[in-house]
Amino acid sequence: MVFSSLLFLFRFLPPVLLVYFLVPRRGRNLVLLLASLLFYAWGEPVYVVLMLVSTIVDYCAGRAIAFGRRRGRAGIARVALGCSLVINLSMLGVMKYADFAIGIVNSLTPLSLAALHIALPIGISFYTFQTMSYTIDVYRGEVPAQRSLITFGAFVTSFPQLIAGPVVQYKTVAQELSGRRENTADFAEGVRRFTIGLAKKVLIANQLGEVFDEIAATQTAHLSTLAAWVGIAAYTLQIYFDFSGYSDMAIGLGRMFGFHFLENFEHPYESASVTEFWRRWHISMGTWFREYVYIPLGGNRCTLAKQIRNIAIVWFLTGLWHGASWCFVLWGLYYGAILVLEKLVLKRALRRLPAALRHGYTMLLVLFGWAIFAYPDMADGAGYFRTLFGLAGRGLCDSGALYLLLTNALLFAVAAIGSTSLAARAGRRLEAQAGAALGAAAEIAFLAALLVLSVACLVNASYNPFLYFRF
Amino acid sequence: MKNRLTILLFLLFVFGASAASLLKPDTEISERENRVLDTMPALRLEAVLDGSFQEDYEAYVSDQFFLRDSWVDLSSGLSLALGKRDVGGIYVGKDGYLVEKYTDADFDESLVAGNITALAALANKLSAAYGAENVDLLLIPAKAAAMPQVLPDLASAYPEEETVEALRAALDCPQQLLYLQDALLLHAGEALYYRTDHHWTTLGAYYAYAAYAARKGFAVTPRDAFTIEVVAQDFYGTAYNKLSLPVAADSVELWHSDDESGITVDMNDGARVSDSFYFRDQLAYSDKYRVFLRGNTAKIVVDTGADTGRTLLLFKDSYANCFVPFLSGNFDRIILLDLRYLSEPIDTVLESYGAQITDVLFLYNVEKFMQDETWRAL
Repeated sequence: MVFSSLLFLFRFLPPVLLVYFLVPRRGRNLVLLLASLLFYAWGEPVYVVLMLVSTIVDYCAGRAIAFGRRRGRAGIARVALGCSLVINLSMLGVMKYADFAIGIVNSLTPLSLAALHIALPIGISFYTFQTMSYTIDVYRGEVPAQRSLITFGAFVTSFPQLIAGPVVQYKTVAQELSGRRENTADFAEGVRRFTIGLAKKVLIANQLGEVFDEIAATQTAHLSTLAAWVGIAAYTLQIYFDFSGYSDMAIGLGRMFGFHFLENFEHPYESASVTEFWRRWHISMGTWFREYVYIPLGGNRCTLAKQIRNIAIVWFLTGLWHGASWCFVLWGLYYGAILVLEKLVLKRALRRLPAALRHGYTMLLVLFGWAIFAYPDMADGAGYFRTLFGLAGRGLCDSGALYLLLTNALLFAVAAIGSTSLAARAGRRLEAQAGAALGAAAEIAFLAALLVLSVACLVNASYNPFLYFRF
Repeated sequence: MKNRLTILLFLLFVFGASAASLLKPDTEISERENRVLDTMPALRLEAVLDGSFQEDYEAYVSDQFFLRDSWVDLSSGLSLALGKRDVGGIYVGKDGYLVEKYTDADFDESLVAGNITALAALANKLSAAYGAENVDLLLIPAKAAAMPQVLPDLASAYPEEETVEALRAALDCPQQLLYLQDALLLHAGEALYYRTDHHWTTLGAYYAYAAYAARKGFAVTPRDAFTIEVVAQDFYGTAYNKLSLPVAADSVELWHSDDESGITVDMNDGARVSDSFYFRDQLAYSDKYRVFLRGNTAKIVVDTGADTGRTLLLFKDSYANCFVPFLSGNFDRIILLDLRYLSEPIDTVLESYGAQITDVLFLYNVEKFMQDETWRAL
């Protein structure tokens, strides 16, 4: 089930809200757990078992680690942590990477193993990372083990962040899991975040997606260079509105139920360097890799050679995490290389550039990054790149490209402005000037319009795939 | 206060719309979309486990959502207000035309290539049997290619001529192929296609007939020799089903001539026999194009009594339905085959009628041909 669906909004959410707030506080984690299992089982009626296994394994591992630490028996803790990591990683490995690995083995050896064709369980990349962060943190003594299986289950399966993140680390919500106070201010803020996220996804990302899909499906021979640039610009904005819209909905829903998840996006397209971009894009995943891979490897407190090695490992894994395909590995290494370059050479040079050039440089590299990312088939991607540079396709410009650009100009403008902090700042300033009553009225009208228009688009469109469902 | 109002708005919206959509009785068909709406799927364990129940249920919720048509209108209104000129695969054209938009995404390259090969093979085979000079292929452009002047500014028709040329190149006798775009472009500004449907009008079909007749050396019946009867003025076709804008309805015209008197129309070997090309009872349906030959039928044999000594074997899609009446003075018998519906092999038909066939015509719309899934089974 996805948030941006009539099913979620008008069949799932109302009864869940009703039951959750009618039940006394101590029963609410159980409500959340059961609702989340239903939410997940709706899309994965079979693989829900896998998630339950993961939950129980990590619950037991957490308890065993805590037991080992309490009794001073490091061996037990280490074995329990090892079990948790091995089970989670092999689950992820088999379900997500088996066929990719088989393909590699087949191409490197004379073997020809049959592909397994395993359908990727929804959200497995997210929940395995979340549960691993739990056992590791318990092992490190950063957080006590959770004694209640229901509470722990509510954390792992929690439907607001289950399917596409953010990657919530247990320690950031540990306190709220056992003693949160839902309140009006949080619920109202949750409503605002959720509504804005829904509109970002439905009103902007989906519309941009139609533009990109049309261009992506166009044969190279029918594609002009301008059309290719329109396409990749559309994809760049689409993926931001799609993914950050999802995070907004997740954070908003969490807030309604009294959770404060950390922010996942901080207007990444405003960045003045690629390093900064990755501090503002999908923050929860970046944090995860930093805390559980980069720093344990030595981080940047080691020789330069090792630092570069660490960056390469992290970005190889980041790429691979996004999908079982060489294109994602290439995409990860592309960013790894840029980050190393910025660290060693460009940082100083960039500082001397005018702000506009720094932003231009960053966005251009990000745009190329998405052009790699958008084509899991690297041959298609290569053709698209040639068209971007005018080396293939139907000339530099054609009327089809102009048509797409002009008829979507307003959408592009709204999306481009909306991706920066400009809109939010303008909104705050307007509210301050308008005064409380008018500000409230304007906000209500704005949210109502977003809800109504989003639902209109949902009714209209069977077109509603989430880009991050592949992960 | 503000927080409470925000929450109130959200809860009213979510609970209100939920209640409204739950309380609304299910509707079986949508007039507007011209299709059967999904109803509550049966709850079966295996359907739940393979996820099909969930999919069907989501489709059901969406199909049966309260005020569905109004939500859809609001959504397309928003797109148009934002400056879009095509919504749901339909261009908002000039002069009230809704024009089908085709892109590469609508076609499967290997299917198209396979169809070209299969059609060319059949045409080449029949050329060998009946003489190359007696076989013709007429390809009908999409509305956008035939009437480019009604497209929105900067929009262009799909490059369907690439398929036409590929087919021409695959024929042993390339001159057998006549791409009707030029013949129709000569009449720019006339109502060659319906504004709200993908088919050509009787007028468009007439110009195609004139081009075909000239090619075959038949005398072309002049326009004013026909008595034009308007049988419907409230036709909203397939383009309107996809994008329901307040545009004027189409009229459906029957062009009568003396040649059509005394004909018999035999559908699927006697399953239905009529003395007319036109089926006025079909005008009760929203798809009024069905008045021509009652929609699509696998095999139709028309006997005209024209006494020309010629029999035409016509491979066709629905565009031919309003075209065929124009041929009633030129052939004694016309055998219409719609391969999408024909269950018997073509060879069986050739065995029964082969000796009398003097002419063969393929009449297809380019895009429908490109998407036709039946050629690969031939």
